[in-house]
Amino acid sequence: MAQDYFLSLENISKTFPGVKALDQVQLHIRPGEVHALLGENGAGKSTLIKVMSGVYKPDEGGRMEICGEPVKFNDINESIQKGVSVIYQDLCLFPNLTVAENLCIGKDISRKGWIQWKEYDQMAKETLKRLNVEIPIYEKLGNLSIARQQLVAIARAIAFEARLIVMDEPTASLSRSEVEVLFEIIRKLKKDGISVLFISHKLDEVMAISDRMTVLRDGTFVGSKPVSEVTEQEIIHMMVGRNIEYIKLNETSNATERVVAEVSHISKKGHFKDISFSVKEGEILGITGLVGAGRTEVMKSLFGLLPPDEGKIWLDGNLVQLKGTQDAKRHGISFVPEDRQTESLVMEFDVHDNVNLVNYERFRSKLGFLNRKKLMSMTGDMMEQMDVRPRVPERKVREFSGGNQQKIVIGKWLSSNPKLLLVDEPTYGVDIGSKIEIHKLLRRLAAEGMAIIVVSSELQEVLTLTDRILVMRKGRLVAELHANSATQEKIMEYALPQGKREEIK
Amino acid sequence: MKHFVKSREFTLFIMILVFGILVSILSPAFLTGNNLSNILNNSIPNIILGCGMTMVIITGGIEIAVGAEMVVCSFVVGTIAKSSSGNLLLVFLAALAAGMLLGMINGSLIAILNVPPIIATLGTLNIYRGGLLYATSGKWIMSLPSWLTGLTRDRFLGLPVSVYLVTLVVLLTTGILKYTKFGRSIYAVGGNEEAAFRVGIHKKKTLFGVYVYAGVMCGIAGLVNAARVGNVQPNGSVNLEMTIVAAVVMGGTSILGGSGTAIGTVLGVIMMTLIDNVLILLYVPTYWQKFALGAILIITITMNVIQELYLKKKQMPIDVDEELEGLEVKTL
Repeated sequence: MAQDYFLSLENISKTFPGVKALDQVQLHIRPGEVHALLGENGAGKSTLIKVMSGVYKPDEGGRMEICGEPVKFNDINESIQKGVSVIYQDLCLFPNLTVAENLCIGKDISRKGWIQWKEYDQMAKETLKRLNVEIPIYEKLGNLSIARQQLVAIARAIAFEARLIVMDEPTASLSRSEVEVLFEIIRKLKKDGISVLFISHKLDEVMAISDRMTVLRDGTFVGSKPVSEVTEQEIIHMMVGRNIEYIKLNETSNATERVVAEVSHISKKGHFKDISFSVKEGEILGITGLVGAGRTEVMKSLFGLLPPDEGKIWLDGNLVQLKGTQDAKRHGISFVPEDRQTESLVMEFDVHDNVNLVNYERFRSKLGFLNRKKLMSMTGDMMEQMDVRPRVPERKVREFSGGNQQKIVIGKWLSSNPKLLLVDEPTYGVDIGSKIEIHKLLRRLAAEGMAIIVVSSELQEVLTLTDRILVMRKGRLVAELHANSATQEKIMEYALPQGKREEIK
Repeated sequence: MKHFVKSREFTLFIMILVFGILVSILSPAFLTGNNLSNILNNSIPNIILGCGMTMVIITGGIEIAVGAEMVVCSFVVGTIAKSSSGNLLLVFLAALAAGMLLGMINGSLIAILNVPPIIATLGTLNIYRGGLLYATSGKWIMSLPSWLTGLTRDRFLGLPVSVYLVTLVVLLTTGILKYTKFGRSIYAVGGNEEAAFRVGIHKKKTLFGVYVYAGVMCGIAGLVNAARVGNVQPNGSVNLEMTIVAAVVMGGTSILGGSGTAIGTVLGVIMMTLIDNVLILLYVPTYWQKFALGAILIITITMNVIQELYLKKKQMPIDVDEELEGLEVKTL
């Protein structure tokens, strides 16, 4: 039986001081199969990868086998030598070096410490050719798009003769067409007998590419099954231990007739062109489309981060100039950006300091001193309102889970009482339980009269959360749909390149 | 070729040429063999120190004790040279050994004990300065023997011997940076430390090696500088480290780590020495020389940053479909 699997993990446990991150976990990967590893945030997926790649040593008592032979890794190099390569979400490449060097660095084709550049180039060319991708090998890696950098990371694994490539959320920052390219490459790897461990939150992708899947929950093994034998619902059930669906929250709209913000024919060269829309008090407006369609850029324009070259923006009926975030804040606009770790939170600050970064101006005496008491109570109120757990304002933001961090970000921006709330990917990288809580919260805010614009790639999210949906494609606005009559298929028809353009109302 | 023309080194090279032409018009004394060899001679110790500093800065670190370390090595060289058994080979080996030892001290602090480079070298800088004054009571070592000073005065095929030495150092540094595993590890650590760790590059070994190399450079520079000046001043070369850092950064090495070349540093040092020289030729008072050096540093770096920002701003992340007929959304 041992020979059936390339990698076989049995009863793997990993204990950190005070936490059992993995408890008797199993994972069996066959040669040439695409295996999905699923679980909510904090289920132990990352820890398991780190055990497989030699970053962590598992507790005594478990077994790890490669091709039927027991192995123990002392460091990453040993796992790479045995054919296990991990592509982390941050890719871990060198932006300052060329593509060729990124592919070959660490690989010992140097002779007595001397680098053979010709062999590097040769090897880089051959590896990229094997994957059938065309990337200039002398280009600095930092000049490539994320999608192409990812291909370099995969090529790197191939260059290191990987037998198993672990991909941690590989599609997180890819557009749909780029995902197709990635899948094409995964299929090619499969044909060559290379296994892929695919980790993703996007179940439709998991269903599309994987042969089998393993689900973890709270550090324990829930089960392994061929993907063809399960439905998305069953997978979700395995992951959360309960049946959770997106709850349709937008049966009735809270929109009033009062227009809070109106955007008229705004354009920004190289970002978007001729965008017009309005959002009403109590309304949640969704903007969707593929990644790279210009959605985030339009939001940035509304928040003063990317002032448009032409066009007009009205707030509460007044023509405004948004030249910086200060202007936007003064007009009552808040913006929750997509990447909370780099764009919203100071990870080393506690909740209190993070939240109050936006409030210092309001609670400042004439001499510039802060009213700490008021600021403190503000944080407490926010955490209660947002149901952030644990409710400890002195805790560093880094130590909260993804879902709770997102609540803190939203709470931070709400504490400045905005009239218009812009949210970019409100539930990116958030587990499904927190997702629904965040959706409910946004609906409640709308019911209280706030105008909200939600940018999201997740169609289910747009369909169940928003009142009205705008679809963007290649920097242009191409459709306006009513959330209640739209479907995923309909939205995709507009969002995809060469898609339709038509107004349905 | 296109790549070469766009490079920082090329820009700097052109700047030096233009500057040189301008100055030779302003001051007839500039374009004389004597003056040019003066510029060259004054540049040599700084180029050697710059080679070590380049490596350090590529890793994302900094070495502000180079001036003090160079003087310590000069002192070792001077002491041995004045003794009866002194000869060129012996002082050369002694300078290398002294430099290596000083480099190992910095390397141990930074690579093994994880002391931030600026703190570690700020500490050793002051210790060496203090130690030097204690050991010498501030006395200079005067009139070094001619077999030592000949290093910068004796000519071989028309050029001072020290020119061959510095060429060797620059070639060695370039070779290490470009063609050795150690050299590429320096770029890797400076570019993305985590990624370097994950491809199995030993950060500690790399950093240790880099500071040892910088120390060895201090040794060679100490030898050449003693030979050039003809004496050793325990309190000499104060603030030299700032000139070196400035020249390295001017030569295109990113102060944030990850990129830089030895050739760039050579040009950076020559540019700085040139400016110094010209201000002297034009009888500009010393305080204005300092002023000019500072201003030029800020201007070069600012220009570099503005250029990068401009390129970034010009970037058009989205391929906007201009042809596509956008949706006319009814507005009020």
